[in-house]
Amino acid sequence: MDLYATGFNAWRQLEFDDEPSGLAATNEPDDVTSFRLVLSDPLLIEPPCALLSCTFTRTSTGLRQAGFVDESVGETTPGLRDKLLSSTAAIAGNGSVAAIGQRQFPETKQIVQLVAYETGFIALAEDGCVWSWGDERYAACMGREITPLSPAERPAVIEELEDLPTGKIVKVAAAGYVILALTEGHDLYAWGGHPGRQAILGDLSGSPTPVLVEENDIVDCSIGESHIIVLTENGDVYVIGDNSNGQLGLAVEKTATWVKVPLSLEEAHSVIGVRAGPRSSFILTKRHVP
Amino acid sequence: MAAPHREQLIRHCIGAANSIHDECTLSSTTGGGGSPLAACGQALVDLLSRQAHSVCSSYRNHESATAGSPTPAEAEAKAEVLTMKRLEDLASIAYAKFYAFLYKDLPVCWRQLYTDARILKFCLLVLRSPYGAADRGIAANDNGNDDGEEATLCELIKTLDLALILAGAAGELRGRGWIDTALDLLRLTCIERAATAPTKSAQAIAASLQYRAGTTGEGDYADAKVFSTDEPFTPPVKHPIRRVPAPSMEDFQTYLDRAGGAQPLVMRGAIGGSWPALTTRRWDQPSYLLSRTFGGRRLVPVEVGRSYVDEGWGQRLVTFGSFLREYIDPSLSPTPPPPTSTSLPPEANATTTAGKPIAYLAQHPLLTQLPSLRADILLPDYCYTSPPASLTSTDNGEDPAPLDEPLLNAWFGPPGTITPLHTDPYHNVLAQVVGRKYVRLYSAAETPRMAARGREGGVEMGNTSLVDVGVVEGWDAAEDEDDDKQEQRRRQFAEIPFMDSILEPGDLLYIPVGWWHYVRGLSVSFSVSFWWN
Repeated sequence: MDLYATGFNAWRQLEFDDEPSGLAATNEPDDVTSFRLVLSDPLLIEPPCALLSCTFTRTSTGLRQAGFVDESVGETTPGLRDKLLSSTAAIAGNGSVAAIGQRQFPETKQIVQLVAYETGFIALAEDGCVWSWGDERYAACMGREITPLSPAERPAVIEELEDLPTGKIVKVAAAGYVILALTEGHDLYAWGGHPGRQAILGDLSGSPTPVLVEENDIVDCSIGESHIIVLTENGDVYVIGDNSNGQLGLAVEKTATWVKVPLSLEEAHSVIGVRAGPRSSFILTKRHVP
Repeated sequence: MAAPHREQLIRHCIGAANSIHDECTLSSTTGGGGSPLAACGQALVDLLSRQAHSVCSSYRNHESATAGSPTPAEAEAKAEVLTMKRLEDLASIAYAKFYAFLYKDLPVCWRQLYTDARILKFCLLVLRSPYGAADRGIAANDNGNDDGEEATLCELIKTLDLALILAGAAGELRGRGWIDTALDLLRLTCIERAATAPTKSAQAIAASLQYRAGTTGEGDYADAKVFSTDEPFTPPVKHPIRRVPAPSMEDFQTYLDRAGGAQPLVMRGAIGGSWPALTTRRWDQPSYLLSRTFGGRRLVPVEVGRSYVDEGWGQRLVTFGSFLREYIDPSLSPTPPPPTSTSLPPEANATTTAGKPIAYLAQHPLLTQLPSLRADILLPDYCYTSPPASLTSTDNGEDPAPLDEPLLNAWFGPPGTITPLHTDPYHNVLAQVVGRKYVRLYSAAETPRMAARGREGGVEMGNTSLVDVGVVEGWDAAEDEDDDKQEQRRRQFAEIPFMDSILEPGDLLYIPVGWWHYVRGLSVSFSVSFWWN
């Protein structure tokens, strides 16, 4: 399996080399502006977890990390790092941390995925229900009504994501002030927005709305501070949003429409997953066994 | 040629880059105890430290280059571009935190990180500008590109104003003090440069910084010209606030202490004779204000829209010069604005006000941002009296902490600005410096009838009324569709007793804590408020 990456690299968080060459180590690292191979493993690379200054992933030879690993998620506290990797804990932009088991949900729902945006959290339960809680000033990110009975700061279900035409939600992603949710039937939904700012997606609101990526079915999605990356059922990768750190892997400043990422993969390789860091993007590929 | 101010500016910049680098090192080696920056996390401190180091190197390279030894210019330029990008990255990472946190919970480290990133950017820009480079900058700029210097100067000023306005210029070792000095040295360097650089832009920049009292200037403004006193609408005063000649401090204290609680009071002409802003350095002269705002190049935050409770209201940063020309008094600008405003939004080039929203420089600590204007006013003695305690506690039950010194805010706008009916947690003296303002006050005792808003979208709005006084009085059209409920609320509201007045230049208005006030600019108007407790 191969991992490709592009984007913000101020701490060499896109360089998994164990021993960087002498010259490269002394120069200020520049950003990576197109997808390039950063890690290979004959057996396994798990989808990486990318924080602002570092990247983690599990491979067949164990945990690999790149960049500047802060103490909070480093060797001294491996617990949080492992939970971040398994999406059972998340850190919001305002510094608050949520972890599964730490929060008491009204019904003892089995939470399978926990993600954070700038000022709050989104949890996906096994039954497909999506819960949100956070700072009520950014009400659009909640995707639900805020009422005295279900205040912003207490987890509550986003009812508009129930009974969707293509089945239950199977994956969520969040960053900045935008949240994504993917259905069983490969439809992508989005909601959120920051008052007074241009949103990454055109018709974003506080109500989950289907996102059309040139009529494609979507099988994987991820989001950074101001960009989105998706994988279509055909195996194509599309991106949208800001490219100021090269996070789109394209030669543009930004894009307000979806752009297909030109990839030249080796024979018999295909993309199996996509991930976004706050200002970076990752593509995971795999060779088909004939 | 000797250029003492330029040399001081360069030393000031080298000092900042070194000091940021040292503070980062200290914060990494002492377990963070040494610097507030440590709270941003070691990764960001490390990134800031590298950029500070890079700026120091740029200055060193520059020194050795001017001393005659050749340097690999291309590699150096490439490194500077990357440093500039990383400084923008740092600023944007810190800026995101300003929104992620409630302002009262925002750790100061993020404001300092933003400020230091902007200071370093300024230092690097100085080096590449005609004000830093003894040789290469001037040579580059005299090659027929006369606008380059103006754009560079605006970029330099904007870089530091962003730190002042958005981040409050946080930081013990540099912060506001460093920035104020840097801007002053930059101003002196501009004037100094005009003596040796014969370019049109250098001369024009230096001229824009001068103020010649009482003479007729040749530029956009005659120096003695004053703001228009045009008053499109004058509301009637129905229940005049008591107006008296300026009382002594003792008499004012007696007035505050009188039985039954302090009442509002207009102190006629209380500042008229004593404030330079009304006598020798007149704030009603656009040319004076421009000369004190780096030729109008300083940035100020303005509120665009009629009132902060209206739909579509928003805040914007604009240069002081374009604020004057585009919003305050378009009669000042019969010709299209000079190229200095090309970086502004397209609508800023319109020469007509038709359909243009009102912009108001409101509740901004302008006099902290521009210390040279602070020298034109005096703190009223009345702010040193002991005001009576608040009778009605504020809605959220939290009384504000005692202030060490009065809080000053500037209020500067065209005719028709509106501050909706609200109440403040401090005693307030409002000084009218330029133009006329209508004020209407409702007693703190009427608070239950003031139709206070509640929490709106996570923001506490309990100090602001739902009632629009202008609509109740029929001066303004209602924003929303009228319904019976609103109609009824207005009828009931019209019965509540109030006091009103029109403030003239030189007047001081005392508003007791907790009293509700509605303020409306009648002409071009510039006021300063003093909050104290």
